[in-house]
Amino acid sequence: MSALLKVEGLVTRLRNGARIVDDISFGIKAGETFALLGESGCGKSMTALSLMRLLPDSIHVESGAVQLDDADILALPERAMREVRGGKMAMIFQEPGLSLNPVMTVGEQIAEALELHGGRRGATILPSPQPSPLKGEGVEQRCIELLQQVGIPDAPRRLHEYPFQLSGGMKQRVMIAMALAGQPKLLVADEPTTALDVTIQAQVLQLLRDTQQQSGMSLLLITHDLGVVAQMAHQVAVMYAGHIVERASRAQLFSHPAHPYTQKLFAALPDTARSGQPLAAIPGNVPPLHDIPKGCRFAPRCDKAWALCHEQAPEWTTLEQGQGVRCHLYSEVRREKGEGVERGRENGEGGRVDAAPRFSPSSFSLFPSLLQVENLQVHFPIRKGILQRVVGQVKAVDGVSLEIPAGRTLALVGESGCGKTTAGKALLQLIRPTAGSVRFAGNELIGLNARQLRKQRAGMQMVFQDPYASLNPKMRVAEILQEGMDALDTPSPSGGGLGVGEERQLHIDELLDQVGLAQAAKWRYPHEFSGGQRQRIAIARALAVNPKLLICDEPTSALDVSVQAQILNLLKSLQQELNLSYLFISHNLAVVEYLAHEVCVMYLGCIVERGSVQDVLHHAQHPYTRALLSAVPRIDGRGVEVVRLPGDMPSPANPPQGCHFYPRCAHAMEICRAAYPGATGINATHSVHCHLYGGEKKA
Amino acid sequence: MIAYLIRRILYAIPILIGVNLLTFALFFVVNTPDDMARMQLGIKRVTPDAIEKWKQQHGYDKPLLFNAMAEGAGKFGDTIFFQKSASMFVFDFGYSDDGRNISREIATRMMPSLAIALPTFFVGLLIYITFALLMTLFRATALDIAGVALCVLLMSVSGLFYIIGGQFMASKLWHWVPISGYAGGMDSIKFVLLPVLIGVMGSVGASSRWYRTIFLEEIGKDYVRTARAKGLSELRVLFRHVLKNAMIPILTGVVVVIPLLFMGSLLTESFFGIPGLGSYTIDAINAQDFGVVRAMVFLGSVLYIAGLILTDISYTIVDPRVRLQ
Repeated sequence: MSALLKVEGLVTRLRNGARIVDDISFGIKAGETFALLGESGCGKSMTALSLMRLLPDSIHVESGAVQLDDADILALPERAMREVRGGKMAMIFQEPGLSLNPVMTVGEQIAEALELHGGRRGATILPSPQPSPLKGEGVEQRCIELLQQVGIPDAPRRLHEYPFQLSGGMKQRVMIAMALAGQPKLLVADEPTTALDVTIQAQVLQLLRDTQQQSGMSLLLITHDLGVVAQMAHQVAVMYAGHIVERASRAQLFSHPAHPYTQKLFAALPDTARSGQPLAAIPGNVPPLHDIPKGCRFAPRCDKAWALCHEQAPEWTTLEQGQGVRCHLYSEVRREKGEGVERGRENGEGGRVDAAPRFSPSSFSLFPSLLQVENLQVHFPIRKGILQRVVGQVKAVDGVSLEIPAGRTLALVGESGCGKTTAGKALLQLIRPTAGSVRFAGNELIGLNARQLRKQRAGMQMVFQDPYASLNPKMRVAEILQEGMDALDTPSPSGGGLGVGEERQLHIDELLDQVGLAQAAKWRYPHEFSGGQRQRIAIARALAVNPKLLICDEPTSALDVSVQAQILNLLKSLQQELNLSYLFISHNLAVVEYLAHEVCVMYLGCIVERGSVQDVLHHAQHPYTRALLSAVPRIDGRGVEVVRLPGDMPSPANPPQGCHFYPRCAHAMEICRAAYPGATGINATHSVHCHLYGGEKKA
Repeated sequence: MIAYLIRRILYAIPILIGVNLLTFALFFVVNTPDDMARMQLGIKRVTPDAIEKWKQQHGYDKPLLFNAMAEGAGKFGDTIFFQKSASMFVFDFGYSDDGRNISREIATRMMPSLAIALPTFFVGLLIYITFALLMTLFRATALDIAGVALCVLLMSVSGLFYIIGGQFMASKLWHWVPISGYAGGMDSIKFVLLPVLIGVMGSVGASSRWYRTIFLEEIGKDYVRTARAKGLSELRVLFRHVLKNAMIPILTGVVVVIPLLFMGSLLTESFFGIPGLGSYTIDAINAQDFGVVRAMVFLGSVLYIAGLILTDISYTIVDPRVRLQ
């Protein structure tokens, strides 16, 4: 089979000269899925936009050739290129919420694509704010067909809805329908599932596979997620700092990753098998584009690098079976020296790890309870009418009870909108809970006034999800760290005859040291740091007041895999050192598995299953937990049969009667409709709220 | 939505009372009823008796805000403030100091004001948006840069210069249109032409530059990339996708002034001798005619509040995400 898409020596530059995409070559066969894997900023999205010729104004393709079906894409006049876009080659994007026009109906947007490429000229839809009839029966029919093809229920009605009326997964389906309207030969999918929850991700990936089988189109899949690659790809190219550093079939890549970077990526993934030891984090950060190292771009972070790597950029080397790599380890120079080329995944595991202590399996001695939460409720009123009377409640958190012992980690797991973040904020009293009890180190927090609460605040601190947004950009690091100490009047641990100011400065140095930042960082501003470093600052800020409990709200979900591993290692070693307790809020089960001792799974404001990591993640009982687990793409490619959940999470303003989960549950019974299930103990530490396991009903 | 509108209208009542109180306080900080009487009676025959008589005739013989002599509710009711304000809420503005009915005066002067303000507004909007779209279409080219430079130049010149310069060239030198004045019916066209042109000129720089910024911000958004990825031409991307989304921020600044068009323009009307509401206000301020000033401030506040409510309603038309409740 000849290649459908052929890219040769593509170079894309910023106007200031930095090469964002540097000498990229690859080919995609008809019907094949080709994955472009890499971390943020490696140039994978810019490669895709170069192919579509949709680069932003400040970026242009400098040289190279792109052949699609014998058409020379880069040489086509703009008018002909418009025929290709959305016709032969369609694209879907990362954020379905932002990628659809908010003020046009779904039908109008699909019809627009049909009009251009569906052989239905003149098929316009009246631009009108009211649901407008689609002009021509044929177009409307085709739109409905497309929506049905991408699995949107009740398609004729959805046609006249606006994007904001659809859930995230639905929006991505609409994007796919729009892309399919022109019956493309190549679909470019730029991180199509990154913004979606795992159960929805599983649905969308399945849809992409099905569509590909039906239509025989090729798929260029851009992703940072090895799990997604394992599920979807036939061929894989790994990108690093603008280069493709390795190219292989999926099987080769997963059994014998050749490039040290690829090996490290595998090693940096959190996994149960490694839950006792630190992750092999890749030290340092991706080099900035304007300051690319002279030799191999990965050399500064590579533990196998030697002098040559820092001097001379490696050439492309072809290994057996079409696998190729850009690394001196495999180049002629190295072979001539007669050194054996080591390969295989073991290399990655043996890689240098951050200097974190080895963790001993925790002994199950007595853990005195630090935080006790009982029946926590956070309800937000819905107001209506002239007098703004309360007509209903959004039950964001509806009766959550949990307990965290000192020095342990409890993970709160669930999909977006399940109330996990609200629960975390309510514990800290950042949101006033509607009802319930929060006891921290024996003191009841609910009902305290502002002054009393401030005393308790020193004990519990929060690390937020997005380190880019959670640090004040106008404050230096030292000011950020000191502000909390000043506000809560924290005694410095060092003690001794120094003044308060000096003591705090010493404490700041100590903190920076603890989180692995240089002391010079003190006088710099947050924007001078990378994402991982910023999250370290955020952790140092939380630690500044000597808390006993950290509430970590998705602390790694905005970070790349290699950096995520650094942060996870840091959190784990800090816990050992300072005997911290963590409430770890996350949707990422692999991370939870690595870090947590106990897990609570939340669905629609309630905890549906709780127990030790072993219990919940390996002997899951609740159908929702099982679905959640099975939806996570595994890198071994085997995985469990995916339990597909139909539909989306219902609105917490109007939860289903009885068990909240029954409308999506494959095991739903008559009783599930009627009553919310009470807790059933599976063993001493493991309990589940599900009628499948009997137990008495909640009144 | 109905409930929302009713609530907004109820909110307007305390605002209007506050505005009234402030106007009243400001006016009587610099004036006293005695000053007003002297002003009206002229300089020659001012006797204390005449002043008392004038005050009695015009209802200014009571205390300003608080009447300690009166009984019960009369302590607040029997004052200048209450007597003069209460009737305004039913749009009865009373008489001006020279004895004319203010409401009738407003009704007759509204037409000339609108004859200038409406065309200035709509022609202006069309021109600003077109100019901004052009600059957006040719963004980052020489045309765009020249356009922005022109905008800055036009912005930097004082509005008075356009008026005086326009009158000098179009009327004095070339004799195209009369310098100033107004006539009813079709004759009004020749009087209206120059003020409208100058009104549009005066704000073309600031508005076009602002709209251009809005368009450029929209054009960088993800949904525009999606539209391009469908293969749409740049013009269709601009008109079908960008324009509609950009209308949301544009409406915020535009709809609110529509009701205020009734009030006319203070500057233009005085310079062109248009007998509209703008010149009426200026004259009243000069004559220290409290009745008229207060009526115009009240009317302005009502129209501004109406403008804000209209803005909210217009959002529901262009943005399907907005539901008023």
